[in-house]
Amino acid sequence: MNKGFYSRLARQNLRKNARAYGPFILAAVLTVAMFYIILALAVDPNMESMTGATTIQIVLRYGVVVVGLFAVIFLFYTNSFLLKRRQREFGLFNVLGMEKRHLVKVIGWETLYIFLLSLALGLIVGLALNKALFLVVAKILGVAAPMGFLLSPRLLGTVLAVTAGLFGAIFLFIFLFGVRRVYVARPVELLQAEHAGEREPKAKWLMAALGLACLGAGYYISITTTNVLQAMLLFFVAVVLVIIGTYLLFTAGSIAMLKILKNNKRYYYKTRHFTAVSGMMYRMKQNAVGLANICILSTMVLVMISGTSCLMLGMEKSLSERYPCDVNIPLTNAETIEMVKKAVAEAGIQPEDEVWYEYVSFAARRTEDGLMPTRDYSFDADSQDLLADVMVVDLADYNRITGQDHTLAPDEILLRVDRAEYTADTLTLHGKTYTVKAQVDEMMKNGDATANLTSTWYIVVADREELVRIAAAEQATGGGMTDGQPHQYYGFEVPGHDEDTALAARKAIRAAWSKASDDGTVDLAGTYEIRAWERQDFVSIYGSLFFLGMFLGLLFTMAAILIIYYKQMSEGRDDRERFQIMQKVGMSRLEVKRTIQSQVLIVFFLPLVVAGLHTGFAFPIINRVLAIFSLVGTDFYIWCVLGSFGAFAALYAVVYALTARTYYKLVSM
Amino acid sequence: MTILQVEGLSKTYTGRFGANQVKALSNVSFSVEQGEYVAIMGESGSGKTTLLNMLAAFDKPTGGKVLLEGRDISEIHEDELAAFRRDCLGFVFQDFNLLDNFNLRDNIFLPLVLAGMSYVDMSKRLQPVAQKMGITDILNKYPYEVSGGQKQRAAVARAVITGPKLLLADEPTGALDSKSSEGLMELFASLNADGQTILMVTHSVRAASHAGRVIFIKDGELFHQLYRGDMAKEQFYQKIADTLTLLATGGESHE
Repeated sequence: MNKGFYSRLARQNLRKNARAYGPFILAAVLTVAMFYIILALAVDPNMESMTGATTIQIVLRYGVVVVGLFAVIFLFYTNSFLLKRRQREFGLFNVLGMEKRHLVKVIGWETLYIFLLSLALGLIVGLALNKALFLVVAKILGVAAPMGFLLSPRLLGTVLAVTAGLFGAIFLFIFLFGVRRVYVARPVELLQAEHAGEREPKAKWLMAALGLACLGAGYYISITTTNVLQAMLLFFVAVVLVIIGTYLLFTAGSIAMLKILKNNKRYYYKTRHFTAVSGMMYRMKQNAVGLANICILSTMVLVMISGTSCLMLGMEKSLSERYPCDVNIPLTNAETIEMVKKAVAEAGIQPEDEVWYEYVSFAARRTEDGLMPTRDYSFDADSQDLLADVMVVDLADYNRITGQDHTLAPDEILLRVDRAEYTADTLTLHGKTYTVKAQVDEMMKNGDATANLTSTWYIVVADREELVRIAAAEQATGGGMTDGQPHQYYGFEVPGHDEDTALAARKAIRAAWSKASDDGTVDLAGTYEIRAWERQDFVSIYGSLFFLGMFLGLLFTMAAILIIYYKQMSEGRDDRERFQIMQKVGMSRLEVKRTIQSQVLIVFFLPLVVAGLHTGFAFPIINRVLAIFSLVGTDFYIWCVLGSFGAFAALYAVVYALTARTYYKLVSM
Repeated sequence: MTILQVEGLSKTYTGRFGANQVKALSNVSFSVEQGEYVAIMGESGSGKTTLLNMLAAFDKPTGGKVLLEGRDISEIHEDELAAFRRDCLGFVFQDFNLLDNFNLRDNIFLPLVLAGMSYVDMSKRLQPVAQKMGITDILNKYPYEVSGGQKQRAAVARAVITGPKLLLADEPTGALDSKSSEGLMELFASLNADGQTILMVTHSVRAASHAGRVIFIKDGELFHQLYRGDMAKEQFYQKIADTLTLLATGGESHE
């Protein structure tokens, strides 16, 4: 045959099927671009010169793997939509005398064109956006981007080659898959392939029940796991259970439920239910897997974006919980505080809002009637609930710092318990039983006590003598007290909370500290924590998670949109015929339109609703895991989830409105 | 009693921008009496389907009117049309138009369900109809599981179960083999004998020869009418065939 015939035919086919191939190529372009970008960022040596960028690059390298895997599954899956759609066309070519090997040539050319186009455009978009996203990363890290931030030619070549290689392999598989399709099918089958699958599906009760059980188990884990360590372990078990449950329920569960409705004759043979039930059954059979995919992708987007944005947006709050003052010297003594004050003054910094108090802190285990100090700090999922972190202060310091006006008899205490419940009237500690006069909310801030996974017990005793007595008792049991005296806490703010001043203060303290440590002139105790300095660590971890969350969220959203689009399109073609028949049999145009519209709405928004449900049930467990990394509390996370869901639902609705137009155009054609 | 009266019916299709006016029907008039069995014949493109679409109110005429029991159907409001079609007309199509995701029983129930009838009443109605169509045993099967003849009989059952005043059939034997066609035509004759008024568009002489009257249409105009009268089926067949030949060779004839 004429040379170039197949390539010309392939080009023609692509143009003719533009409505089907356009979105696929667009998706491939974006996938290539995103893979290129994340790979380029992950290996960019310029990143290393930025503070905190090492953490980001480690996170990004995980991202490369995720995006790569995703690209394989996603492109393969959407391509199978297209192949199915074109089965008939292949059949026709075959009947018209084109041999299978000719068909293979056509498919080969088509795949090659799509590959080259996607790769070229994808790399162009990637190169263009790479620079922009590098700046975004720099912005998140809060540092100035280094000047030369383009990859060296050698590295650029590697990144390009890896990207081209990966997508070349993917498209090769797509091609081979198409070849297999053509070779296994007979022409008549090819012609009729589109009409297969009209058989009424059988209800798979076992699968449906299994799906329900998986989903229930996943939800149950999320709701009942109160233990943080267990939560981290079980989170992935719950995720897998919910994913399996979702697939089973969408495929088998939906059909089983419709069957039950159908078997109820009085329900089924009603004008509104009759067409709806049978129509839904048909739709679910065709689309269940696609819908489950959309549902799971949406859930992932929601969980990722709400979780990472919660960390990122709540970072300042976490920081100020963990480091209550600009400069914090916990677990220290008078001599060290003197040294710090002197060093800061010599650096020309005027401390403001100084906080100073004495306290005793130690680990204990909960007992029936109180707390038993322990030296065994190790804990696992089982004993985590028993371990308690105790911080004792005296009433004078407490009233002075919190501005309260409490009074206490010698054996009375004030109590505040975080991350646990204690309701008894008395509390036994170091063999002495105290009366709990009141549970209080106000408490002096102490970062060490806040940053715990275990419960924290704040105890206010009547006077300093009692505090010293407890410190001595601690020392007697082998506790970390050096001289049986309470520890001291010292903290202050720098003028205007200025970051540079805070860092200057750190430099001065650090110099004095190491000098004292070397020459032994000061009896050093405790440590120094400067919020501005710690922020950089927070930013690099949370920032990189946030960036990756947004990045993957965007990618998954794109995938969900594309699947929705193809689903709408293939449904529109099927519905056209039904639409016409029903009208002929005596349904008005409006009724038909309404019926179809309601079914499309159900099918379309079902995944979103279920994704919302998943996210809702995932809330308790994620909230608990987040508590490890962030100190912002449940309320804040709720807002993050609601915000993410609102934004996603809005985007989803926009996609619906856009694809619905294509859909109605197809139906009423 | 006159069931259907067609008076000076015309339909002109206008192309885009008013160009290319095509006359599909011009000034067609005839009437159908209660209990009649009328076949409409004509070549492809003669306007048969346009006529049928007009009678079923799928399309609006550009001139003249269609009266069903004295009521002008072009004056029926759009909202009522579907109910009107459902209650007064029954349709049988060449390509059956059964819904693939319903079994035969549910396909037949479709118009009744749309009319809001209870399941018990529907079942009562179905039993005699299914028996007459000879599809009682296959009611639970799906359209893709049965033969073309069986599909068409199910479609007929769907058309008559509402007790329509007029049964409209568009090439009902067009997709059937000769044996199934013959069976279907006998079924139509038997329905007609029970008092069902039937109007059938066909270009099969064999199918038309079962009717009591044949109306010929050529180029959108009523060309000729044949009454069967006392003629035997074979005789009528011959006469229809002769008329068609005349139609094809371009003769002018008005009886």
